[in-house]
Amino acid sequence: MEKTYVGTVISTINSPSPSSVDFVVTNETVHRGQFVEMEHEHGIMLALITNVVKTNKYFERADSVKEFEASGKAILEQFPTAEWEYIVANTRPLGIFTESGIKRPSVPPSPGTKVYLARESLLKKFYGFDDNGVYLGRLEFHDLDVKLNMTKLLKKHLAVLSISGAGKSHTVACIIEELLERKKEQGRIACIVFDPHGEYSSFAEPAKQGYVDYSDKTLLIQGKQIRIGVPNLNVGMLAGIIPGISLAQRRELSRILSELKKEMRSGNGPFDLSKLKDAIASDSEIKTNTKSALLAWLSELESLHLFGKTDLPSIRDIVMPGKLAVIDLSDIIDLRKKQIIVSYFAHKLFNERRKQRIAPFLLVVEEAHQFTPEKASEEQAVSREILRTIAREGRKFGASLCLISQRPVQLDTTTLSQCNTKLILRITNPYDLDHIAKSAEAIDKRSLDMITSLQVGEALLIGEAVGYPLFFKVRQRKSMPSKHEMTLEEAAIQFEESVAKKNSESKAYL
Amino acid sequence: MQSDFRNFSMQTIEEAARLIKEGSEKRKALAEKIVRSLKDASLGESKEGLVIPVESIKLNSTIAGIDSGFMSESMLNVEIVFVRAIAAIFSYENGKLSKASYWPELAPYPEAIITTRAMQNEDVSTHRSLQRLLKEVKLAIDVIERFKPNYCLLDGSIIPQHADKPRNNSKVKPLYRDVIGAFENLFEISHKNNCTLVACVEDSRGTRLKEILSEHANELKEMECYDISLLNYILSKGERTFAFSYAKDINEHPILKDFDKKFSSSIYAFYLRASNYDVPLRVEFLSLSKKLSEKASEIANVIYSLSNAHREYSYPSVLIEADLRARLKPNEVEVIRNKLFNKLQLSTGFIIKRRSRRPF
Repeated sequence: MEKTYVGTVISTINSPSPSSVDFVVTNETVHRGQFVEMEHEHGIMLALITNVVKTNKYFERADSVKEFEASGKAILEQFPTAEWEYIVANTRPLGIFTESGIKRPSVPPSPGTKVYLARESLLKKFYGFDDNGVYLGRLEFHDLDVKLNMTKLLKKHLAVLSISGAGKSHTVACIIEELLERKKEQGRIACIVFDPHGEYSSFAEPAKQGYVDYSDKTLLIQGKQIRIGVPNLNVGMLAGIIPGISLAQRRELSRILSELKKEMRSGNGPFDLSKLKDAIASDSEIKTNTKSALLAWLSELESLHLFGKTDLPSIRDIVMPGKLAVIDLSDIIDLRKKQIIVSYFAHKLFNERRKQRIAPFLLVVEEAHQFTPEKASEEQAVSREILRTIAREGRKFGASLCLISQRPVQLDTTTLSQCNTKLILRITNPYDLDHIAKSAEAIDKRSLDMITSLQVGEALLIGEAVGYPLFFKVRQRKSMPSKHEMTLEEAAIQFEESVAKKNSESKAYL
Repeated sequence: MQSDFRNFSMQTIEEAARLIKEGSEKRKALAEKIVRSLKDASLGESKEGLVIPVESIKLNSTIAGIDSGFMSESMLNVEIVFVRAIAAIFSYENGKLSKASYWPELAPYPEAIITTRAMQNEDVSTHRSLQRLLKEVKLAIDVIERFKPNYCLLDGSIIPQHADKPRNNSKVKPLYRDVIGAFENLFEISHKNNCTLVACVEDSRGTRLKEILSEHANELKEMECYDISLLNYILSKGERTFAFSYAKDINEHPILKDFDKKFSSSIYAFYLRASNYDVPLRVEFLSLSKKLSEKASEIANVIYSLSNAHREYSYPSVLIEADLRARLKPNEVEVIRNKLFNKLQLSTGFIIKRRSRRPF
């Protein structure tokens, strides 16, 4: 393939060096974020354009520009300013393709070296794109699909971070589509989404024209339908839910639970919270204080209407290779109740996977800062510990985590730092940027600076999946967009139409 | 110690300020007097008044600007002069720049002129200056013939300066003769091609106009000042002086007397003020045929239109551009120098002067 010449390396105070190479653009147009290649004494050097600067001697002095412009004789009309405009591109060398592999640059290219647009084959090799991988989008300014190896992308967990409305859910929907479309021989994993706003429920709906239908591969579970089987709880799980439980109270609760489970196995059938409460109330060994405290807590749990005799749904029913389970928590307002659901099902998923009773899975946690918050007491962060555990140990068992958050600063640093790949869309809050920088070794200052200027749909991928920071444009989703992607105008029209319909129906009835 | 120095400095500054102020006030008063007394006088060879208004016109012509940048490298046995002479050729339509061309090219590499002859110190600087002039003049000739501009503007004087003239027995004398010959050739070619040859002197130290005015104002004879210091109080923006011959007596002028009389008697100058806060600009020109006052007005209008956009800096835009293009950067010269040393494979101690390679 013919290489496209774009410029020549120039000599400045700071360039060329192993970490910075500037070139004057002599041909074509180059863009920030574009890749270039150049000859190097050790092989072919690949570099990323980090900035493009236009200069013009006639416009360097503000006072002179003002003078000329104020005189009514524009500089453009008096001097050949266009002849003086030149473009300098600053690049960051990424690696050198040598005969023995890709090496980090330790010697700069010489001034005068010709610079070319990077060939696709080179980029593909550098980023390790996989033809069978997860197709996330296009490399901007290059005719190249970003297809990432599934293991590299997900095994050591993924965090998707950005401000609200920058395309987090869209990007994750693309990942889910890719997982659902994988063939058996490619290796299929299950996908479970904790969805606090019902953004993924559209996967379960029959697709409208122009969209791909994933409804046959999707199971939608409404939060209100969920029940946690009390016999499946152990005292550890309950202690995580009940704030401030003492050792003595734990011991008594454990004893009674064991007795009830024994009775269940002997043929009495499963039990629920009210039966547990009855057992505690009628137990003669528990001290009165302990008894009343336990009963009070259990009554409070009962009021959540979350506990039953069996799990609903059963984990084994929802975790299937190549299938998606959306746990829609949008009808639950109580954050604690949502945390209990996430905590319980995450425990179950992890434990079942450890025992290899379910398929390897990707657990997607939307609004992850709600479920694994940074600064919150144990009682207010019921699900944090299990998510930390999956983040720490999940990779050994094929239990992958995908955390999505619009407030990285409120996200638990321990969990976030275990997400070895970070997919970052637009972020503007300096505290969030700082938090990301602290939890991601792979990110450098220049990449961090570029995050603030990302447009909707543009993403930066750093970490395990790519090795070097990668900016790309996220592809269009194939599945139906969620109802949240509706414009304000559309929502308003829809509302008024539904009200009018109701009115006419009641009129007709009367 | 420090406070003594401060006192000394303050005294010196105050004294300097007083002298400058006094001088300025004196010149101002005298200038006002001259303007009053010469209100209706016919002055200089153009027989015009002291102050003549200039018009800003919408240019519809081609104007070339010639300039050069130079640097020299003086070594033990060799003198290298690096010269980059360039012409910017601007074409105007309705007062706006419509096209810019360059000759010999947009960014020519500097030319190295090497001399190995042993020269006296004073000859060394004359040699550099003449080499540069020769390049500029030859380039101007080339540009006039190739581009046929309506005006050709030179940066500096229209003839060599006193300092450019070597002693009679100097080794540089033949070069000087070449330069004079080149200038005569330029005058001839510009005339033949109907191209008006104009030179703009950025910071003139001329006193010819003061000499002429002294004939009408005795006080001026006693006053020591340059023309532009005086004219600063006489000319306002958009005004020029009368045109006057370059020298009172061309046969007495050290440079003009070396020229063919046809040319030396046709070189004139005037001063023009194009900006409120910049001193007047000295404009020199060759006028072989047209009526002098008409020619002076025509040139003044062009130069004024090219120079009046900045309140604090007045110089023709085409010469600003030529200067930017011609200016040499130290690293350009260094590349050539390093190549030379590599070729010679000699220690720099044998080539570079001791004063240029002090270790500290």
